Amino acid sequence: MTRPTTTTGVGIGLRHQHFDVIADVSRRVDWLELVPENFVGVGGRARRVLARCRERWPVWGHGVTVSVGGPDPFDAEYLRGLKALLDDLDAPMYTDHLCYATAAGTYFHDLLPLPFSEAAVRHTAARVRELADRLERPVALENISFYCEMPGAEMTEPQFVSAVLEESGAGLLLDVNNVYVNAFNHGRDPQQWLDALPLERTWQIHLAGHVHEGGRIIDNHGAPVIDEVWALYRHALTRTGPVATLLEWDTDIPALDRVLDEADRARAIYDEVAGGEVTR
Amino acid sequence: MSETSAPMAAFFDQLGALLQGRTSADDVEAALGPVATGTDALAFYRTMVLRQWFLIMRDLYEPIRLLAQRREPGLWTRLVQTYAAAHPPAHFDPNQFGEGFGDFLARQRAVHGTIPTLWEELADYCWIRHRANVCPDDVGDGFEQRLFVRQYTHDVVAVAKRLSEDPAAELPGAKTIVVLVYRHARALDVRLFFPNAAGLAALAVREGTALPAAFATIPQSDQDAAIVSLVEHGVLLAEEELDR
Repeated sequence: MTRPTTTTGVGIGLRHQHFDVIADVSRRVDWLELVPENFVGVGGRARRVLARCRERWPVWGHGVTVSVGGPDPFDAEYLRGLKALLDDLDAPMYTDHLCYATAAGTYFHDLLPLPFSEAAVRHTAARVRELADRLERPVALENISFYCEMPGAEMTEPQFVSAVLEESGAGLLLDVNNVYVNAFNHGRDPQQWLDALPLERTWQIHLAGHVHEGGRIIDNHGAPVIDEVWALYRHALTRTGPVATLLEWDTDIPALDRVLDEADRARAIYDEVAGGEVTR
Repeated sequence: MSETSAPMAAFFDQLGALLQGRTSADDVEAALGPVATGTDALAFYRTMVLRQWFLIMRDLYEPIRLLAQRREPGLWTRLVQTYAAAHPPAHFDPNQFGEGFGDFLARQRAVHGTIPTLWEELADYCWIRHRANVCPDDVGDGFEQRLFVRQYTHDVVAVAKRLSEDPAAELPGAKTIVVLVYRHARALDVRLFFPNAAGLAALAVREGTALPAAFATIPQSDQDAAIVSLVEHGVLLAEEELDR
């Protein structure tokens, strides 16, 4: 399936820490991402800021609790609210994570890895198709950071991602930091890991920082992007062409200018590698 | 909707139990097979989930966390873990996880007698501030949604403020306060208002609740003036705003 949007360039997340300043910022922002769970059913200031931002930029939703690969039926009330929000945003697609986040009614509020198995491929792909039908728009899924290969694995993570996307028709939301985190934590080469993903299906790219904890790297979106991830991003763009890129900063969120400094750095690479043309 | 296959159902049963602390990573491996990346890596997911839940509770109830730390190291952890075991998150909005914490503290006090009344009042104060902030639009005056009328036996406003300035600060003694916690009808930020008797009477009439006997003698002109003031302060919506 072809990419369902022509929006390109570098975006940042719409976060409440920046509500006072984001709508009037004079520095360049190409698009905004929001976490729908923070806006569905919510009024007040969040909605007012969102409406003002929507006048300036494309705004896309990136979900965290739909539990795309999970066992529970989708929350029908939430999906109605999510669809209404995406309709309001005129969002050409919805993005979420290739993971589960709920089980037996409990919301873990974390992105949990599925077993890399044929059964999980079939299970998840069917749910992705259902989700796309109910939201009436295509879905792209992010490769998550995983700290443990779950029991029952029959294939590698890139093979699992490829199989789910192929069987469901979803796009790839390529999280370059997650590729680096996974390669580091599991002793692999990051570029080889990235190249093994179905990059031809890339509809969006994410960049973020991480933190070292013991022998692991934790994907916490709470630090500047490291040089190795910038290099991997540069390589990814040579493979994907000009794909909209999100600079994520979700923990210990600094002032907007600091986030935009990081976005500018991404844009410099984007312009150099992918041609610099930005469409909205 | 497609049915979950037997292998996937077994996976989710086992991992769900692990993530909620009802089974161990060793038991999960015994049931599902070995984990190539090691048992510790599997067990780490329970830690990750708990971190998320503690972050949510800290964001919502920081004053109570500080008081618990002052009282006894580890008490906050025990409280949240006990609360989570009884009320695991069940809503897409992470903050909904905290909805029952005030009642939980009240029950803890009733059973164990160790939790001060102040804590459950603080929990209510923290919770309604959050609720007022995220309340949907178009709820009219929004009693118990955008606007909360509360009487506390402690000055929770002063306590929360002092703790935010200095976690070791000496706290004021018991003192009854009546406060409105609300999202300003036009500015949309969460504010406080300390109403007089006429204001409370006007609010009762506006909400359609019975006027307490003590308020029966308050002149209508005082109530009308109170309504004007409450509208000016963004507590209540103006008539034309209600009609929209």
